[in-house]
Amino acid sequence: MSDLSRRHFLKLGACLAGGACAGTVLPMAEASQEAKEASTLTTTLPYPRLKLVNISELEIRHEMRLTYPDVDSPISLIKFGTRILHGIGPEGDIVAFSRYCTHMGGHLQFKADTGAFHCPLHFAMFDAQKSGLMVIGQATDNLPQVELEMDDRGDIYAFGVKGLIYGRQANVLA
Amino acid sequence: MSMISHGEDRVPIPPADAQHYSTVCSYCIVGCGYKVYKWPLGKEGGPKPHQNALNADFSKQQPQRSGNWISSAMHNVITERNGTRFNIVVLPDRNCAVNKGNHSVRGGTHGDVLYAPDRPTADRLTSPFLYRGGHQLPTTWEEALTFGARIIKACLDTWGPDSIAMKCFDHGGGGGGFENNWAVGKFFFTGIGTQMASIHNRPAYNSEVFAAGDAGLASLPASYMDAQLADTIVLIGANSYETQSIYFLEHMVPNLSGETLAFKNATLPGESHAPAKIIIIDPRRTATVAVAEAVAGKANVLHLQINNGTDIALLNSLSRLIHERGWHDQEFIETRTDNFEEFKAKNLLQDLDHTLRLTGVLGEQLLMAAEWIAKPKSDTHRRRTLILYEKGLIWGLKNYENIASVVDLALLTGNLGKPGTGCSRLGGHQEGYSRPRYPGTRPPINVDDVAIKGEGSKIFWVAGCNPVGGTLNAQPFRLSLERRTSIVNQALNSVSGGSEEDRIQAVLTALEKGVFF
Repeated sequence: MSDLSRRHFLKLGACLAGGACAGTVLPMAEASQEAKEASTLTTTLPYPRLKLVNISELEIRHEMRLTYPDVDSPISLIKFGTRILHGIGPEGDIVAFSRYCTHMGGHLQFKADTGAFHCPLHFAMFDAQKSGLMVIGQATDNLPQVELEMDDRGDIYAFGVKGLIYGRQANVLA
Repeated sequence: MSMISHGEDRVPIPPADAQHYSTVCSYCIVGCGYKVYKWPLGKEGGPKPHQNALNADFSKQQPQRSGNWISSAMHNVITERNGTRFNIVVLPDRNCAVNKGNHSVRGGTHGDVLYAPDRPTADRLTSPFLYRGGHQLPTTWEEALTFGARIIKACLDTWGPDSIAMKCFDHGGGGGGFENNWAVGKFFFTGIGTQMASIHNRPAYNSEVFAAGDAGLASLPASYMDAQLADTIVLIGANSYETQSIYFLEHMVPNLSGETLAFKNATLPGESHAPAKIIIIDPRRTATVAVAEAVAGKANVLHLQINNGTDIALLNSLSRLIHERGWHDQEFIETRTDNFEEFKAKNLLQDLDHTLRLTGVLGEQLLMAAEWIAKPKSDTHRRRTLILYEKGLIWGLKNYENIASVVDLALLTGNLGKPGTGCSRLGGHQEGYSRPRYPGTRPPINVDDVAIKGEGSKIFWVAGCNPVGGTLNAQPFRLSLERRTSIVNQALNSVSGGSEEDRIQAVLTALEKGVFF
């Protein structure tokens, strides 16, 4: 089971629960293949596919500040060093999130000791290791998570954002 | 689906000609303002300011606190009775003096929780249930109403109006408070005439804080502005970051951070002003404590982490300390209060060592609290202290004495009726309260206690609340309800194949044995 990604594991679980997938070959995909999977997002927005960084440039639990899908949308990319929910890369530990709080757009600070984003405006907290889950605060949505994939050279690309970025009507500006 | 993970990456914006209304939050006690936008499904406003009702430029990133961002939770699609579908957006009102565009995690979901046939809100109870063969099974309204009405009528004829006890919600908010509350009162008070009435979260038909009323205080003697002006804010049994979020974030936090200093100087000239200090009395280290420390600095936050149920000793000890040091408001006591000698002979004799042992609070903390509440700022100016309390103080077996102790502390220190002072709950609900007069005595009957003792009522009508979750003596009450209702269920089961007549007779026979329907 160890090389089953969480995504595949969940699919398998759904099959078993549904009882309708008997005889299906288990998807023993490697990480690189998984990275090429299509987005689960049902979107019509024209997200750019943008190279963010090469994996060799990442330090463990160190926040890399970037922007996506455009320069007015700050994001943070973090490699945690241990497998986390919806993480990508060979360790399944790389995630990226919008840095605008989904309550009122406060500029979030990532803290390595908590592994969470903290909002200075009204003290919301979002857990980067749990897909941006709000731990406490007044926001009504988790933190939008940037959809990432990695190619054979270790280049990490962004190709979508799950959840609405604060201050926008659509994640890709008109 | 979790409310908190919508996963959508766009929301429709209201077009310039969308219908719009102002409303107030239907959740907590703070009363934040909201704007509702409604427009036909299939139509959308454009990103340019003149193309949408918010007059905002959505072709650009909005700045923080813009007050015009629509989160996924603020939008929904509703279907009217004639089948027409509309987009609905419920947005915090940035022009409302209470919330200034801010919202809590509750208020931010007004759109989300509207009924929609294709969302989790479609999951509703649409038909009444009756016990049959040991199970609650759906039935028609006609059958349920006839069945219920005949049993109520039989009880009324045989045992009189007090054989029908009730515990009903009295909130309404967006759900139709006036109509609901009026209908409940009309039915139980005018129609049936029972004294055995109680409210969703308490065992009798009374105010939660009637000790305050008895002492002559108005229900809400302070405004949110007082929280911006106070020298000291005292929170008792209240986790206001999480439960009165906007009152705390928009009116207390700016005072703790010093943001309201200019306002304080302008409003109350001639006395010294500093960012407010805050005393939080709570057995738990809450999010409110953490946030207050982050804003005001630890030196300006005093968390009295008392043992459960020791509020009275703590509050009376504070009164004693304040009186012994001469920090009380003699003029206020003389001109505005009576029975001071009685108060001295009782509350002010609270043994301080005993209090330290009971509460687990340190002596220096107690003294610091007394100073922050009442030590005058100068020879001519008293401290302005706003004392606010909630469920931690008002829900308990010593409800009356708890409130009396805190009210006495406020009276002793003259913290009423002046800017920056007050003593009350953090608010009241948007209940739309209007009912015919309660026909019972004052003080009203403790309905739950009567139920525990197995006396009186034959019918216990519960509406829109969890009776066991909102009472003082929960476990005996739960067991009593369980025991007495199970006898009725058994009686019904014994005639599950019978006619309506058989089943009504079975219930009435069981009721004679002192059970509950």
